[in-house]
This record gives sequence, C-alpha cells and structure tokens, in this order.
Amino acid sequence: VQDTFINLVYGLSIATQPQNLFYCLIGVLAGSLIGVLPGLGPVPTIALLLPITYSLGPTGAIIMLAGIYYGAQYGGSTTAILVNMPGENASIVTCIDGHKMAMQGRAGPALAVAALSSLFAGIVTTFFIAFFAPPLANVALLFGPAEYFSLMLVGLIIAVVMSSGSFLKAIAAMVAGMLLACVGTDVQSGVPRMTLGSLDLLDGLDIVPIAMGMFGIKEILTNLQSPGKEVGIQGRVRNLWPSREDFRRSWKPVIRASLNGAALGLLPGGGTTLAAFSSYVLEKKLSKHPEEFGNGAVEGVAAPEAANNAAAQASFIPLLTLGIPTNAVIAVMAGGLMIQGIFPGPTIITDHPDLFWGLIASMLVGNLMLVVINLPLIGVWVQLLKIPFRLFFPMILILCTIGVYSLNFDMFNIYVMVFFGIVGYYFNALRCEAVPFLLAFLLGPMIEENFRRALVMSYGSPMTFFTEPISASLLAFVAVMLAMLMLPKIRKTREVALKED
Amino acid sequence: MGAAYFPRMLAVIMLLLGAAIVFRSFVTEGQHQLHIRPLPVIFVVVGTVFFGLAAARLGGLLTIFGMVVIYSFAYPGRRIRETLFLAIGSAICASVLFIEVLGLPLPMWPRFWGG
Repeated sequence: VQDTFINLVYGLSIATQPQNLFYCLIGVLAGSLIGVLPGLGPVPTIALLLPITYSLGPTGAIIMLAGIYYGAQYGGSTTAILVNMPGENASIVTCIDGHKMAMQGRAGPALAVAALSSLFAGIVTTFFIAFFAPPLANVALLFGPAEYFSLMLVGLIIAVVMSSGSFLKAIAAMVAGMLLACVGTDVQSGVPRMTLGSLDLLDGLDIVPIAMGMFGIKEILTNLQSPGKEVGIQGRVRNLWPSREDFRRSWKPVIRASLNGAALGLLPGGGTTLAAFSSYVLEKKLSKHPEEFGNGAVEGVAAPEAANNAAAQASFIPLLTLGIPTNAVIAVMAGGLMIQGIFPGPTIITDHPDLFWGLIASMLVGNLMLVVINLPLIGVWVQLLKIPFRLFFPMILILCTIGVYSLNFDMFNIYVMVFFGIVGYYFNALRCEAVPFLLAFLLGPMIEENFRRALVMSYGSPMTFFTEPISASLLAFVAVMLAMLMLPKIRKTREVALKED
Repeated sequence: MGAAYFPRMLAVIMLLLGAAIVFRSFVTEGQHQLHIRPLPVIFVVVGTVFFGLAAARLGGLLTIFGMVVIYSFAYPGRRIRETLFLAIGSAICASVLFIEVLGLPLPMWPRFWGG
C-alpha cells in the first residue's frame, strides 16, 4: 500500500511537469469539446490527434489522449442536459433526468451534479487503477504464448457477449477483424498475404483509418439519414450550485456507480454506455422514490455520469496490464503507443513506470481541470451547440480526411477510411457490432503470433492449449460463454439488457 | 506451419459462420427492413475521394472548396449562398491551418498556376 502511494506521488511529479500539464489541458479541452458536439466521438478525435502526438513522446501522448477520452464523457453530459441529445453515446441515460431537471429550471444544478459526480468517480477510479493494475500485471507476466492466446480469445468473446444484436454476427465480425489483420507481409516468413498484388497493402491496414471510417464516417452517414432535427436548447443556466438536498440524495448513488463503472470498464466491450445504463437502473431499483426517475431525479444524473467516467478510466487497466484493449477508443490509443515503440502489456509498469504512473496521476489532475474549466465554459458550449448539423458535418469530414492523410501522407488511407465508413454504416444498418471487429483487428496479429509461438514450442501439437492449466481454464471459460450465448433464455435476457446500447 | 495457416483457419470459420447466418435468416420470423437513403452516402464518398484524387494537383484551397460543395448535396435543401460561404471559409481556414501552420506536404494553389 505504501509503495502505491510513493508511486502515485512519483506519477504526480511527472503529471505536473509543465509540458505534461499542458498536454493534459489540451486533451481534456478537446475531449470536452467533442463530448459536447454530437456527431464527433472520441474515436475519430483521438485518431485525428494521433499524428500530432508523435512528437510529444509516449508519456505526453498518452496523457493527452486519455484526457480526450474521459473529457468526452464529461462534455457529453452538458449536451444531454441542455439539449436532450447525447453529445456522447454514454450520455444517453443522462438525457432522461438531466434534461427534465433543465426544463424545471434546474439546468445549473444538473450540470454541477454531473461535474462533481464525474470528478468523484474519476478520483476513485484513479486509486482503483493504482492498487489493482500492478498485481494484475504480475499475474500476466507469468503467461506464456498459449496463455496469451487463450486470454485474448477470452477478451474477444467477452466483447461479443457485451455487444448488442445477433451473437452470430458479432462473432463473424470478430473473425472478419482478425482476417483483415492478416493482410500484409507475414512477419515470420516475409510472404505477402491477401494483398491482391497491391503495393499499398504490403504493409497491411492501419487501425486509424479503419476506426475513423467505422466510427467517425459511419456516425455522419447515420446522422445524414434522418436530417432536419435541429437543436433546441432548454433552460437558461442561472444558479449552478446544487442544493444540500441534491448532495444528500446523490452521494450514495455516486459511490455505487463509481464502483460499478470501474468494474464494467474492465470488461472488453463493456465500457461506458453499459456502465451508465446499469447504474441508472440500479439506482432506480434502490430508490425510495422510483417514480421520480424520469421526472428530474438528481440521482438519475449523478449515477450515470459517475459510472461512465469511472468506466472510461478503468478501461485502461486491461490495456496496461494484459495488453488487451477493451473498446474502440483504447484500441486506437494502443495503436498510437505501438507507433511510439511501446507495446502495451504487463511489462509496461516496470519498463515504463513514468508512463504508467504519470498517466494515472494525470487522471487526477485532468479531472480537477475538467471541473474548473468546464463550468465557466458552459456558455461557450451552448453557443457551439447552435451550429446546425448541415454546416457542421462538412467540417468534421474535412478534419477526418486531412487527419487520416497526415498519418503518413498517403492518400491510400483516405480510401481505406471511406471504404470502412461504408462498411461501418452497413454494420450499423444490419445491426452488426463494430466493436468486436475493431478489437479483433487490433488483437489479430498478437493472437496469431502467440498461436504460432505456442505451436512451435509444443512441436506442432495443438493440445498445448488444453494441457497448460491456465490456458485450459481460459478456453473453458470461452466454451462456457459460447454455450451460454446459444441458450435461448440467456439470449433473450442479453437482448433485453443490452437493448439500450 | 506456414503463413497461410492462421488466415485459412479463420476463413473456414468465417465460411461456417456466414452459412449459419444465412440459414438463420430463412428460419427467423419477421422482417428487418433496411432503411437506406443512398444519396448522402454517395456524396460523402465522392467528396472524400475527391480530396484523395485532387489535392496534389488542385491544391488545398480549391480541393477543400470542392469538398464542401460536394458534401452540401448530401443534405437536403439547397442553400447556395450559405454553401459558398462555408466552402470559402473552410477552404481558407483548413488550408492555412494544415498547409501553412502544420506543414502538410500539399500545395496551396493549383499546380498549373505556375507552381
């Protein structure tokens, strides 16, 4: 325990270096901005800013990118409360009671409660990561290739379970992601695979244009399908400070939601939306006045906002300890770290302690910054929200296009982005989840490498995956999950539970 | 075990999954209607590909101007003045920011203009 505090202080000394403070500030500002604006999510933004972060060094880069992620959770609530539109997917639940509060003239307190709940959850989760991640990484250090292969399968299968819609399609999406990851020169033999003779494909596909297409362009295409919805801003923001009654009612839900969010953030595919939604449902069940939910209950703002922020931060744990990204945002960040020559995994804590502890401590700093900068900026956000979508989407598209081009000054990436924009759009239309696809694409090369290494070590016998005890239990878990997905009753429950996603 | 081992394994799984999904579509009750309006998709694609094809020759200003004009067709209703203002504004802002300030290796002006 003492070590953890010493390490946190060490991390703070890194996070408070002037340039890192600056990167953190840029990150949370950019995050709030895109969180507020509907239609531009954290995935394309982080992908956009990746090229800029190459020059910052890995620690500065990840501090800034992380700031974008949790900053977006934060900004999303502003739009949810004032406009009844989720600025960010995870804020869908906040719309329900947050917007009602705004209509009752309590927009200010709703915004403040959202901000303070997020701050609290952010602090709790920071300590959660600090205590939880190092022991987890120590376990992962014992893993050999067979264990790693099975562990990644577990990660992917959880992502499948957590995704909404048909599980067959989710598994197919996952396999497709791994297949696409095979495109390019095979690392071990140097043979080009599935390049169709194209020189552009020899290096394989990059995750950034794919993520930009499937999440950024897809979002715009989907919004363009039902145009004409103009933004109406409800309620003037006058008095910000919540009443003592608000505090009394919120503190317990915020604690529960922080823990719930932190736990769900660990699961691949779980993430922020599910955390927010389940916390809301939980508080409604526990409340003495469930009828107030949906009519401006302050808990209905506090709980989901705490949960989504906690989940956003906790989702760094699997990446930094096991090397497994849990959602699209983290996957893009992992891609960014790899470009910097840092391979996320259990060795990161010992090999790059400045990065690990600096990142954790920067979350404390960043959450404080968010409260300080956001409450005064509400007026600016309101003005921004008045820009209609028809003026707004060409600018996002230009940003995405130029951003993808600037990755390595190659027009080919633009075409990849467009192609996967269409793919993502059809995925969405056919109710097929994009998250398992993207995670599998990122994990694909690692899965293959560990698979082949394990087979080499066992002289070609696939039994090695079943005779190594850890690997065997992980695979058993995968089998149980698959079996459960096929049981009709559980399938129904899952469909109901994940419908709101 | 060669380079094709892993992808081939995946491809077989993919085939089986595809067959299962097709099969399920025949035995499942009810219909899922696809609501797709193709025009926005087409204009977004054309506008973006336009950048890829034109930027190196036409330069940042003209290309981005063209992109915005093409994108404007993706949204219903024609507002010619608004589109022109937006296109000129975005062209100047984006070109200055990305080419002048951030140093993107693209020309500002069209090539045939003596550049």
